[in-house]
Amino acid sequence: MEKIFKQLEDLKNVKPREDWVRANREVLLAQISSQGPVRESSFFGILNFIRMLVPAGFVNFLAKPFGVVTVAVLFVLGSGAFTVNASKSSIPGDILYSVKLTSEKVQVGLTVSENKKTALHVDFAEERINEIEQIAASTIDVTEKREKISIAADNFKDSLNSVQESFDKVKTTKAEKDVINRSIEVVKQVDQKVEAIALRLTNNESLKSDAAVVKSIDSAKAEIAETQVKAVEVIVDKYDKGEIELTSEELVETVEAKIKQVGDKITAVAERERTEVTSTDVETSTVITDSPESVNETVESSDSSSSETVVVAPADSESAQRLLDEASSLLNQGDLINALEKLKESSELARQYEEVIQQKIEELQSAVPTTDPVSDTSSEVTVEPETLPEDISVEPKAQSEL
Amino acid sequence: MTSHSLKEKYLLYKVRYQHDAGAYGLLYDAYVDKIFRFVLYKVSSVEDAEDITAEVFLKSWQFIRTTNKRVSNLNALLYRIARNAVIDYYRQKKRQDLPLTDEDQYRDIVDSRDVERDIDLKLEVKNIERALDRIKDDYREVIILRYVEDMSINEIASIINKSKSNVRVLLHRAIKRIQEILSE
Repeated sequence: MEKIFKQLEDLKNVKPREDWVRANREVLLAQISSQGPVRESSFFGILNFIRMLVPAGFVNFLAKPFGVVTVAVLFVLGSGAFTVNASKSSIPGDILYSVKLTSEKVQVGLTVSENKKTALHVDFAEERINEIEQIAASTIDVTEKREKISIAADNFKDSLNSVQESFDKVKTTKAEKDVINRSIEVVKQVDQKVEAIALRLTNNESLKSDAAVVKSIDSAKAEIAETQVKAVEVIVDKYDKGEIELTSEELVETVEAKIKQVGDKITAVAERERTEVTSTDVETSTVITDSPESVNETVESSDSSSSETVVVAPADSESAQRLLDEASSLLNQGDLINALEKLKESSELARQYEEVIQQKIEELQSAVPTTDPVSDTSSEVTVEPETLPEDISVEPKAQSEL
Repeated sequence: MTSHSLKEKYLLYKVRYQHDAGAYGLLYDAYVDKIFRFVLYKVSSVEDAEDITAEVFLKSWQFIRTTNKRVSNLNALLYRIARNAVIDYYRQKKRQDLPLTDEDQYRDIVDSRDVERDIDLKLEVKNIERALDRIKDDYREVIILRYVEDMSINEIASIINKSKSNVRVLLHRAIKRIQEILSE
């Protein structure tokens, strides 16, 4: 008797032919794919999914008034799929924020396609930016804002890291040409999306008020830049291996666009250096001298040679720009791989340059309000710290302080 | 993938509302072996079993996409569709009963399968298969579903559209018949 059951159990090993299974799968998927486009999920789509998870009777239960109250109570107590929905609008610091992040991770976990996972990571990165904008616009106090923005920015960088990892996967995957092409399409779309995010961050004035917030945002933007460089890297690599169809013009265009982006960034940082670092540098050197005469002289001399008082950092605009020019010329010669290498170096240097300048600005901003060196030289001088940075070129006022 | 797992529900959702072929591919991967096996023991020809299995998955796709009802148990659905497909197959072939034991066909089944076992086991399994071949389709069905596919009485009842007690009786009788055949 037992033998019978054992033998029956062994029948589990009966399987169809592997090649038939595979072939049939392809045929099946081809047949069903040809039956119509994939519908994008909408709000009602999500609602339907949740309905699928929930026993049928529950939906009717909800229609009744006391059903609504019960659900509201559940929101507060937190249980299951409904909490996930409620957490969607939360920001760092909220109780449900961890639920939000977890549900995002679950979504990624349930996704099978690598391309779709990548798209999800980008969506979630965007959501972090939404949160940051919301926090910046709110009326909570500065310390709290800093904290929350920092959390959101860190999570943002994590999401982009995941995107970069998936780019690496694309690089190393060997697959059919059309599969690779689709992956490259995703890479391009990601590049555009993160570019748009960078623009949002740059244009948001409310993010520029506090130094710590600016630092968080800058590190987020640096991560974006890295992602974009990686995107180009993947595209060039695949092209080089002959795995994608891209005209050489398109490729050159892509790399050129990146070169321009990095160039713009270098220019922007140099501009900041000129206006915020140089001028404050001059003023600092002015107030530190002891004798009134030398103050005069310093003001005059620094006025005529303000560019010489700029401290040249190892990571500076010239070096970064030089590398960029090299990248450009290599590109013109058709040497894509080396052009990309130079581009990467330039981008890295530009990032360091930006960090250095940012640091200098912070130091100067914190140094200026507290020191009052002029009062050492003359007891009658009253200096208004807040106005110092603006006063640099107004010699008469400087003279009157003596 | 268990039949009531979240992953399966999610894939079903994608199939139904987004017509996601990739998601359906995954469901196919999870169920193709089982459905093939089930059909094979009903039709005894590998080629026919393959054709019918292919048809089952196509029909299931259509059903999931177009039905108004929620698909709560994909497992049961697939088996039900498979059963009906075999019935249609027989109607087409104008057969009332099971095919008689055919040595050539039988050998086809055993040889073309991807089974790695030692010789002794193969012989034993051949025995049980011969026995299965000789019993009524009703008996064979419940035996396969219960002892090969590990389904519950409940699930079997829902697939073959009979009551639970009916299923238990069938199982009891089927095992008895097998024993009789094996001791011949």
